[in-house]
Amino acid sequence: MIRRRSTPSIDWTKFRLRMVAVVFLLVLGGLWARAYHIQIVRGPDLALKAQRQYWTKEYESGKRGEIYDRNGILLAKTIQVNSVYARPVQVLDVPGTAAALSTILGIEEKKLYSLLKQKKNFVWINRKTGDRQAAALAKANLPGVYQTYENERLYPQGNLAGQLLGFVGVDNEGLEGLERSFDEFLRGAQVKNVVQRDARGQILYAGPGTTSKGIQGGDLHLTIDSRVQNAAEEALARSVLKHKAKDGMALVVEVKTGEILGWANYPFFNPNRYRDHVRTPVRWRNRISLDVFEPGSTMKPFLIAAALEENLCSPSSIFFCEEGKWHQKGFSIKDTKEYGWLSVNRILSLSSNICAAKIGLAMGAETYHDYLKRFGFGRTTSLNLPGESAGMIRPTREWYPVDLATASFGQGIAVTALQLAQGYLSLANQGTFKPLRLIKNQTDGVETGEQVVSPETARAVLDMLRETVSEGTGTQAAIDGLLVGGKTGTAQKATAQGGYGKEYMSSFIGLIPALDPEYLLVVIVDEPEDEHYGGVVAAPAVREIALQTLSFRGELPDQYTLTAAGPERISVSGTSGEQMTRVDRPAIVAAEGMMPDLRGMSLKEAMEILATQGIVPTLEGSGIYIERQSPAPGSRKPKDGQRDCRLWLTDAWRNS
Amino acid sequence: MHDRFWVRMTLVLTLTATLWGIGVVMLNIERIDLRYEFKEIADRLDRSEDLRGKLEVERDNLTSSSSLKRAAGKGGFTQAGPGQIRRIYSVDHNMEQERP
Repeated sequence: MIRRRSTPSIDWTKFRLRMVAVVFLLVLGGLWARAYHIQIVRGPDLALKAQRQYWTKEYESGKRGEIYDRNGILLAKTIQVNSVYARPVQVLDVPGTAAALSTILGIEEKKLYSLLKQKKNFVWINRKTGDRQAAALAKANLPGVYQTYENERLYPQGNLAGQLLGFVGVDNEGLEGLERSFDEFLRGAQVKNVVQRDARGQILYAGPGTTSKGIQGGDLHLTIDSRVQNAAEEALARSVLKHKAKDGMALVVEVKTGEILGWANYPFFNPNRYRDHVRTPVRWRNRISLDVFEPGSTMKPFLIAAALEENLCSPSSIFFCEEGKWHQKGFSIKDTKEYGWLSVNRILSLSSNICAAKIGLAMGAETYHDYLKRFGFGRTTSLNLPGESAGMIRPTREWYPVDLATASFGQGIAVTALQLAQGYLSLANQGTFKPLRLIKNQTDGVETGEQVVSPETARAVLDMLRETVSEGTGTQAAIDGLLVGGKTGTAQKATAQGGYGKEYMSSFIGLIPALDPEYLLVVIVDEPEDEHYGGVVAAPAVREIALQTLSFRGELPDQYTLTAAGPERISVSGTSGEQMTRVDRPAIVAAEGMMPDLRGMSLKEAMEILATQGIVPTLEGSGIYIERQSPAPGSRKPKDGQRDCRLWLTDAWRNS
Repeated sequence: MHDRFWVRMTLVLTLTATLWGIGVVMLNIERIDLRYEFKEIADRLDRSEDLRGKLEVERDNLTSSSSLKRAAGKGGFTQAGPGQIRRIYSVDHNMEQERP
C-alpha cells in the first residue's frame, strides 16, 4: 500500500474573490475617473458644445401688414406659399422624377430632366407653387424633392388701384406706390430667437412665452372706396378707349373730409404680375402724383377766385374778349369762339382765354403766384407718396407779361392731377385749404386749413362753375335732378422741340352738387385722337363716375316726393338710407280755380297734378323738370280740356 | 451591526438615486414628446391660419367690384340710374322725419 504524502491545498477562492474585487474596483475606479474627467475636468467645455448642438438661433420676421379700403375690403395681403426645390445628388431616378414633376407641376419634362441631371446640392424647381400642386407633390413623396415656404404678396382685387398700391419685391420690401411709402409701417420687425432642436435639427416648440409679439407689420386702412374706385376705372377706361387716347387719370374726392375715394390710372396695372412689366415700368407709374402737365382752362377758377378776392372784379363785371383774337406786343392769344363783351361768370363758363389773360395781367404776377401757392400748387401734397412731383411754377421774377397771360389760362405752368384736386378741394370747401387724405384716421402731418379765399368768393366761383355745366362748355356732365358744377380743360401739349403740337390734354373737374359740393371728380385724358375738348372727352366720364358713386352711396337723385300735407320735400334717396340733399319748398297752395306753382317739379308730378284738374298742357323744349309755366302760378287756370296751358321743360333741376 | 447599517443605507440610496435618475430620464423623454406634439399643433395652427388667409384672398377676389359687376351683368343687372331707386316711407318714419 502506497501511502501518499498529503500536501497542504491552497485556497484560491479568497484570492479569486479578491482579484475580482480588485478588477471590479479598478474598472469602477476607471469609470469614476472617466466620469470625473468628463464631468468635472471637461464638463464646461463639453456642456458648451452640447448647448451649441441643442440650441440654435432662429430669425423670425413679422408678417407684412395688410391693406384695406375704407369699407374693410382687402386690397393687399401676404400669404405663405409652397416652393419646390430639389437636391439632385439625392435623386435616385432622374427620368422618373422629372416625369412625375412634369405631370404635377406642368413644367416641361426636358427642362426638369436637365435640372435634376446636374450634380448640385440645390436647385429651384418651381417657386410659389399652387396649393393643389403642393399637396400632390407631398403625396408623391419623390426622393430628393422638397418643399419650403415663401411669403407672397397678393392683391385680391387684381388691377384695382394697382399703381396706387404699388408692389413688393421678393425680399418683402415695398418697391412702388403705397407699399413703398408705407414700407416701414407695413413691414414687420425681425427678431432673433434662441430655440432648441433635436438630433435631426428639427426645431422644438419653445413655448408660448417665446412667441414674438408686436413684430407684425401694421395694417393700412385707406380712404379708397373700392366700388367708387372700380366705377372710376371703368369710366376712365371707356373714355380713353373711345377717344383712342394714350392714357388717363381720374380722382374722386369726398369734399367734407378731403378723403380720396377713387384713384384711377389707365392703362391698368396688376401688381400681382408686376414682373410682366419689368421692361415697361411706365405701366406701374403712378401718374396722378408723378406726371406734370399744363392744365389749361381748369386753372381759370383759381384766377377768377383770386381776382374776386382782390376786388379786381365782380361776377357781373364785363371784359371785352376781342372777338376771338388779341394781339399784344410779342404775343397773341386766341379763343375758340369770337366773343365780344362777357361778364366774369360767362368768361369762366365759356372759358375765354383772352379775358382770363386780361384779368391775370390786371392782377399782376406776384398776386396770382401767391394765390396759386396758397391753393397748393408748386408743392407736394401731404400724402407722402414716393417721388411725388411738386409741379412747376417758376418764380415770378422770371415771368414776362406773356408768361402771366398764359398762366392765367393754365399754360406755361405745370401741375399734377393731385394738385388740381387739392386746389379745387379748397374752393369747394368754402375757400379753406383742406389737405387731401388717403389714409383713414391719419392725423400726422395734416396741415391746418388756411382761408385761401373768403366763403363768399368761393361760393361765387362755384356758382360760375354751375353755369359751366348748365349752359357752358361742360353740359355733358349734367345729371338730371342735380346741380352739377365743373370746369373743362383742353390744353395743347408742349412739344420737345418747343412750342405746342397737335396733342391735347383733355380734362374736366366736376363738383357735385354744384353749390355745396360733396364730391369732387377729376378726369384727365391724355392725347385723345378724335376729339380733344374736355367737355366732350372727359365730362361724360365725370358724369358716369358721379352717377355710379351716388348710386353706390345711396345718394342718387330719385324723385320729388309730394306730401299730402306740409312742405314739399325733394327727397334724394338711395339704398343705404343716406340722404344727400333735402330742399324744402313751399307747399303747393293754390286757391280754388288758380294755377299751382309747378316750377321745379318733375314732369311726371306736374302732369299728375294737372290731370286731376282736367288740364292737358302743351310741352315746350326737352327735359324732365318744369322750368316755367303758363298761366303763371296763382293766375286763373284754363278751363277743362283747353290746351292753353304750357310747360317749358329743362334737364337740370333748379331750386326756384 | 454597524457595517450592515451602512450597507443597507448604501443600497437604499443607490436604489433611490437610480429611480430618481430613471424618473428624470422618463420625464425628459415625456417633455420632449410633448414638445414634438406642441410643435405639430403649432404647425397645424400656422397652416390653418395660412389657409384662412388664402381663403380670405379668394373670397375677396370673388366678391371684388369687378367680379360682382361681371356676374350681375350676366344676370341682366346694371347700375341703377336716376329715378330707378325708390324709397317708400312708412307713416311712422315720415312722422319721425318731420319731428324737429
